[in-house]
Amino acid sequence: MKAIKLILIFFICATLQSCYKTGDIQVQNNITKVKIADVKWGDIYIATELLPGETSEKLTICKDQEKLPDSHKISFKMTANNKSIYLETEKEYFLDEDDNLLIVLTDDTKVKNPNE
Amino acid sequence: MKRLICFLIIGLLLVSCDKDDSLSSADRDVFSEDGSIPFKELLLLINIKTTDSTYLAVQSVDSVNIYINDFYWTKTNSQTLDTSKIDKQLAGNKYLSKNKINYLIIADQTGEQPDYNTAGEFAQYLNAAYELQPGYYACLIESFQVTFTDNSIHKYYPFEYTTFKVEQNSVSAFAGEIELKID
Repeated sequence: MKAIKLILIFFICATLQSCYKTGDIQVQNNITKVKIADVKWGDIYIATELLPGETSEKLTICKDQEKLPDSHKISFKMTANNKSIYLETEKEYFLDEDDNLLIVLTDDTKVKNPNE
Repeated sequence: MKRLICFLIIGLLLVSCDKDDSLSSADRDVFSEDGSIPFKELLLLINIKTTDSTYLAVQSVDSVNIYINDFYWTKTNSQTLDTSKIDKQLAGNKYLSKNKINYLIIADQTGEQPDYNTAGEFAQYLNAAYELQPGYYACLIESFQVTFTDNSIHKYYPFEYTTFKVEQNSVSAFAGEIELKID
């Protein structure tokens, strides 16, 4: 009986610790005629690939992934015409607890190649 | 039972370890998606012939404007020559030689790095990138400029064509020798 109680307490703690909802994040690709891949907010993976006009699924940032509030750049691989380049935004995007952040990348979004 | 709890804790710790999937620095330049080797450089030799059949002797031929088919390829300078070893005569404000002097041009399309700031500019750059597939092409020397002994700069428009072939998976091609005529 004591052991069962211990297991229950453990599972309750694990559930609380593993994914306590803190904030939601989405990225929309509104850049003309390019797809973007490996989209990340800091080190957190947002989407594998986004076609022009596509929005990523809502990603809930768990407490074990990131301590909020925090702000990070968006990094991605831009692909067109069978060529790709790795880019990251100059701006950092701020996500607070219980926020629902939609980041829209457009033609006017300031970006840079980290190698330059 | 304690063992079971220990296993559960160890399992949870292992699951929580994240794999580092960040891009390596090699992934950060423009690269071809299908893994093919893109054509990069066009090599050519140019010599500058005057009306009295002598050749211009300068350290370098500058701002050589090159088009491939109808596409602007690059503007570049020739490799520098040590003209002190060349048999030449001073004629007015320039040195001339009876021997042909070839200047090496290495025309690299990526010679001019894009200085872009927005996602739209990079998108346009990727969409406009001109990739040379295997086949025959025409190379046009649209203009060039040279600096004479009095430091005056003269620009010429020879509009001379030559042809070259791009081989499969080749990064460079030799377009041969082009004679450019000036007055």
